[in-house]
Amino acid sequence: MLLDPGFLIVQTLNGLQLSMLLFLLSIGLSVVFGMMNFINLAHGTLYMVGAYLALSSVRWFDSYWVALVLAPLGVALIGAVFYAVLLRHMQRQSPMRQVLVTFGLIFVGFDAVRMVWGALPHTIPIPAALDGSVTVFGEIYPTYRLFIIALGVTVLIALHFGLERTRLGAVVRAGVDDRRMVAALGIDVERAFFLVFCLGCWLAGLAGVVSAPVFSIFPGMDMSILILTLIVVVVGGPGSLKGAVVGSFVIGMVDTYGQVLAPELARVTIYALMAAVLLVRPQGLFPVSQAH
Amino acid sequence: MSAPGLLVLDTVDAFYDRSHVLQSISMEVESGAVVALLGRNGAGKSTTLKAVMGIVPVRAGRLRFDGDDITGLATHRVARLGIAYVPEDRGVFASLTVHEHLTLANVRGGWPLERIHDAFPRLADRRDHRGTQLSGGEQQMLSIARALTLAPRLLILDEPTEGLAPVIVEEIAAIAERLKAEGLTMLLVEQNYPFASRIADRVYVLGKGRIRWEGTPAALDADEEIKRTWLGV
Repeated sequence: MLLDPGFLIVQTLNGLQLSMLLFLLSIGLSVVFGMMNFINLAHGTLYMVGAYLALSSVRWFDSYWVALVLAPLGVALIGAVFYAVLLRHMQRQSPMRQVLVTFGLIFVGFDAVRMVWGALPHTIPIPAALDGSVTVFGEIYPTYRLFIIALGVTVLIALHFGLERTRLGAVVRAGVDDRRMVAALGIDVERAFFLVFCLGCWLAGLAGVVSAPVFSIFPGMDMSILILTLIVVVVGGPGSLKGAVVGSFVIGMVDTYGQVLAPELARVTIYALMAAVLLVRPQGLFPVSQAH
Repeated sequence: MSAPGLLVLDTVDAFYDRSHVLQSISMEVESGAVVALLGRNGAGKSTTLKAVMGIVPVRAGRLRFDGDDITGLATHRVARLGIAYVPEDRGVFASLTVHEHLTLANVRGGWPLERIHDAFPRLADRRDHRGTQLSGGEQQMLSIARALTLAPRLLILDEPTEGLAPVIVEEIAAIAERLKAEGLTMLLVEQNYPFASRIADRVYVLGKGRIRWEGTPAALDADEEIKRTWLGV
């Protein structure tokens, strides 16, 4: 079975699709953690809210594409408000407090979506333009899933360009390396951090929208993906685009192949991998290097 | 010392842990002068600089820069007033290129690239190298050059010669002398006593978090007692 090329192609594409979702979710979490040592456990909640906002905008505007634009913006706005009223004051607190408060937000988010949209699962239709399938290396594969992969790759390239070629990108990289020194250059690190935080929320919302047509939307849909996302950050090493890309790819592939090859060990493989990485390279596979 | 100091510390207390405590530090850096802070390890020299930069909180006393009270100001606001900081660990960013270091601050009136490349030819050769790919001496020069892009009115240097080969120390000294000749005000922490006495106009000796002596390098040179007690020279 393993050597059947058709099986390999389909599972590799499935793995890539999961990898891209994990990438959209983990990059924001990873860079925010790298810059400010701030961990937002409610990041998965933003993903869930993105899916629900997509559901509502599809109902109102009857268009997936409108949802694709509006829902991530809505999530970024929610993130910005939460940052301003709550998270901004948490930054100088101990990590344990940050974990507890953002952990609490997971439950707040869970109940909030249940109040607004109900407890029953929902789904949104795949947009007509992407409904159907195409033949990839002789295998039939759903077009929409290829769209997810393409979107992830596009975001990856855009982020790479933004980080490596723009001044804000340079400020972000410098902030991950040595935040105190960035401030000593007269740059308001908090403001750069706020922009990055909002962008991370926007990406989590985007992941929620693109997932909505393939996974069902329900209160608590954020939990399993949150855990995978956290594992990606740990395995890849926080703070770098490279770490998020490689971490997402490794976890997406191991999880996908693990579930089809050894379903009884499905979750164990991921945790075993994380444990192995932590033992061999506690700082992650691609940590941000230090100049001193 | 009739002109009011550009930077004035008025009975400043600061600490961030038990081993870094400043008690009632009063000192002054006059415009155009080079002032050195000397003392043994743990005397509070770096902590004094960090208190000025707003990196270590000031618990009592006032800090004034050009007449303005800067006590408790956030680090980026202190920097924007025209105080540039070259930290002891040099603060070079591992993931930024030399060019990015020199363009990050983007302050009007700061040294333009041509002038930096003229003063630090090594940095011109290393334009696209990242922070981790530089030698210790190159990192130190980059840190100083980066500070100059901020158009500083006061340049703060924390042990600029630490851990560097004599030939590099000589280059740093030449740069410091050139900056001094151009009239740049500098506050410098040093363990390297000959280097400090070569470029400083005035010296403060710190010991156990307090100012123990102040005067000219020549007067300090003549005072064996102070040197033995507080500098171990």
